[in-house]
Amino acid sequence: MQKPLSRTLAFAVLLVGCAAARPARFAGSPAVLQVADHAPIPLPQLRDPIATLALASAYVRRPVVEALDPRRAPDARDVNALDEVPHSSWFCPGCVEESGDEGEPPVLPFRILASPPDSGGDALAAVDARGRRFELRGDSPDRPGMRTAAAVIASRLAAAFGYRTAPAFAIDVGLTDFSLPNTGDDGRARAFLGAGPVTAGSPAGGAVTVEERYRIVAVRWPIGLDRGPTPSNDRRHDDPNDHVTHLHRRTLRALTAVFGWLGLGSLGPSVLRDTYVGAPGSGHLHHYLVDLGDALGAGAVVRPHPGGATVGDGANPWVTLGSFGLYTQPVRPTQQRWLSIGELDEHLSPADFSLAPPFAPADRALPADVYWAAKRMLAIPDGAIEAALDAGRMRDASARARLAEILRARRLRVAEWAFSGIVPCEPVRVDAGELVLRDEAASRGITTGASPAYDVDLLDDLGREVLPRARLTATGATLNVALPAAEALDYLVVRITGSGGQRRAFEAHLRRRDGGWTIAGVRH
Amino acid sequence: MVRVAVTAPATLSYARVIGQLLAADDDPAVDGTLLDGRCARAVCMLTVGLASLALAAPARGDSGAVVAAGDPSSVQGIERAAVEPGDSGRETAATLLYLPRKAVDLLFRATGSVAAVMRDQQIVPRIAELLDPPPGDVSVSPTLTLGGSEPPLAGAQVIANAGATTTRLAVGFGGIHDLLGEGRIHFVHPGPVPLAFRLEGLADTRTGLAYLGVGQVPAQDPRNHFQHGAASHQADYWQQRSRLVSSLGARLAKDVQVHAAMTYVDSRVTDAPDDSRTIDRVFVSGTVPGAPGRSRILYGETALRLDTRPTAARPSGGVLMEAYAGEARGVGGDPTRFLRLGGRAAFFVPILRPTNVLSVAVILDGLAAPSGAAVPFTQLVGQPDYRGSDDRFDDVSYVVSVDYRWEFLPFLGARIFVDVAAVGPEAQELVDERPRAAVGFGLDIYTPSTTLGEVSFAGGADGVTAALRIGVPSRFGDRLHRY
Repeated sequence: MQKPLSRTLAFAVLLVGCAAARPARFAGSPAVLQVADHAPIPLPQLRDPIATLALASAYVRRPVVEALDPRRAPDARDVNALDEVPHSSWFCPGCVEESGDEGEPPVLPFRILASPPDSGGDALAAVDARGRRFELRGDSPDRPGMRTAAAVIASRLAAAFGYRTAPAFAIDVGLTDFSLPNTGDDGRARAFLGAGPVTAGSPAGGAVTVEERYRIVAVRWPIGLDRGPTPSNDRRHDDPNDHVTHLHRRTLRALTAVFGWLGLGSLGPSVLRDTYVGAPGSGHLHHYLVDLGDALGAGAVVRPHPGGATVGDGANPWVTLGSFGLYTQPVRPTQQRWLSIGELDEHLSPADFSLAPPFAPADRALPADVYWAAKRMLAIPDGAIEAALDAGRMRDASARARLAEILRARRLRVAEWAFSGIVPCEPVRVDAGELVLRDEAASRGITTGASPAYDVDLLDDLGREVLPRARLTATGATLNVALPAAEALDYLVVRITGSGGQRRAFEAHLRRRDGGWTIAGVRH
Repeated sequence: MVRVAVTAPATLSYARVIGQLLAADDDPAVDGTLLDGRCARAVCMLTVGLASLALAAPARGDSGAVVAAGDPSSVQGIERAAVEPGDSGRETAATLLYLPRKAVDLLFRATGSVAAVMRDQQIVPRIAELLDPPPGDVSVSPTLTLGGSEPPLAGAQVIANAGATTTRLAVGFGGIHDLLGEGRIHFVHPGPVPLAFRLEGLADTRTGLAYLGVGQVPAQDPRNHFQHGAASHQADYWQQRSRLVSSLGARLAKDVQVHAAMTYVDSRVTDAPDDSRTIDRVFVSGTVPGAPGRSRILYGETALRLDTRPTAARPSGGVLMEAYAGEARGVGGDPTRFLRLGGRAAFFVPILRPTNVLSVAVILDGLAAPSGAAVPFTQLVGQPDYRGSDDRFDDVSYVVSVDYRWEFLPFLGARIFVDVAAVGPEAQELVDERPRAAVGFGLDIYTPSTTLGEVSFAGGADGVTAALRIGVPSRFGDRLHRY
């Protein structure tokens, strides 16, 4: 009795497991370019998760739960039919005017607020002469200019990418730039400024204190009412505009590539913040990158550690386990030549880059997500990078040049990695019975190491072969795919696969219209 | 001997699921978009959007058209999702793994208020522990208990957290004679002096429970009157219990808690039918108090606890001191009357690192019957802190543990330990007894506030004990839940 039952079960599992694959089917409706997630909502609760519990969940719960879930990560759900991210409260290229008063720098003097900074951390909350809230942060005494420059440069580059980013400004202030009406304000201002004297950098990064002036970064925050850290897993259940589980948001998944480029490995609660803009009851949430002071390796600086490291700091856990936690492993300190640059160089291995604590959406990033991120990065003109570096007001010219060099190199590393995981094609047009595609890697001169030869499959909407597989070789950056007559079919999937088969396929979905083919959707 | 104990609860947050369904059905972002005063803004956004998309240079099938929407499917423009090779198989496997996956998920919810109803431990949570999980969560979870000395028990529990009040209802089934039903309600008042009030009710019937007799070496202890020619010196019995517990705890200071509790236990011990190892067949009839028979005992206890460790889960330095005293009286004609007295002292000393901790703990438990009345064997002192075989019972017990724990990954620690334990009829005889010893090692997974799971292996004269505990640790249960 047992045997036939086992056989039946095994057969059923096999049958289910072998169910036929089939491509997606696009509706053919126009691509959505904007998600109107700005409907008025009640003021959501202020999220204030307990940091230690969030860490435990990120380090222990999620890896174990995900290990017990063999399902593949689904495609991003905040993308449109063209596999692009529409504008929304999450992603808004060029929305500088919404990023806080046209991105204007603070007007001195600052009035120090008694309340702690909304985004948390060790900042000083202040109001400028125009009544706008800022959060002020200084530099570590041993790395003058590093954290303040990183906050400014990274926020500019993230904004250029398309994220909503709290504007940050590197400015020099003195005690006279603070109005100190309350008892104790003077002490707080002195204590804050004491951490970061302005320095005039020498080529070697040597420091000369500029008397009475101190370099700080002023981050325009909160813009609206801060509602706490953006949840990394679920939607915000008190935001009716939030329809996509955050694990499935490409804007969040792409952070693994973006932060890899920017050298931001630590993702504290002050980095991703939700804010309510508008009057309570008639406003909505925006999702911002706020405190990027740990970017450009500033948060990963390894200082000479007399005791070595046992847990974290790059310590090998097996050595720690085997030595009963008693052996202190040596660490390699960060370079000292450019003190305004943190633990950052051009030797980036994007596949090995990870965020700490682990960030669930980034861990679910698919090749299509990082490919999209790489395209966005490559679209940032060199001029924008230069402008961001200028805004960082780095006093050491050689450090600035070095940082520019590193940023370009790391961007290229990310692009190479992203393009190698996918068939990097984009549709150009459909005409005269052929689909014209562009090979983005060839077009942008990105070396992936993969063969430029592609295979093309023409399928119907159920995945059945329409024509036998054919080899497609790029002519320069252009690929031409001959299409069958539209009369015979009403839906056609053009699937391009890399010759090795390891890369994620590109699919162009075509629907018949007016006797010809028109592009209904794209999947990478 | 190898003993494996697994407790694996899991959860499904229905509130969350329902919330998602409601959100999907009621999509305000879809309605009215571009129809209100934001038209100009929308046009601006469209322009910026087109420009930004041009950065990445995608081609468009229908360029220029805009459909604003909040629903993910309508944004994606997909009317039927793709099925990738292997998807169905993965779905099937995911379905099969649903219970363990959700079990692990619940373990992490077993912090804060939820832990308060799950732990077999009197505890007044710290304020921070009350904040997670958020109020309003209702979790339904399967449970599974596997133990070498007890039959497996499968069941389910519902935990509802309404902020200050947390409730748990649980049922278990291990066969027609192994049933469990339990309800707990835990109320916390987070004032300047946090208070915790707890009410519990339990009814269960269990079979296959083991009793070796009293003493450090039961087979040689003259107080055990074994039947001549008994096939074994280990008896089996069944127990049917009804238990009510009420307790009030207060955190008088950051590290100081005081608890007062009252327990009523109605226990009926019976022989298994057709069992060659019933108590009456292993022991001389009438020499094991309470077997077979019924006892109805009311027990009141007061405990004072000082715990200076920042957390009991992660290796950390500090001092733990606890003392308790309680009195039990039989009710409804039950002549039982006895006193319990005991305590524990433990010192946790960091070695080189805050997360390398050497600890020494001494646990003393005692029972006395001043009136000379017999104490039901189910109420004798056991040794749940001993990591070898917990099968010795008597009037007095000590366990001395030396542990060295060190963290080697965030939230993952290792430990090596030595336990020494003995039981006896009197404190003086404890010194004379040759103690049992268990040496072992283990791994712990924990959150900042609670232990999530332990795996340990201990070896001693009684054999090797392997223990896997997923969930809140049961061996730290207090007196109220041992009997």
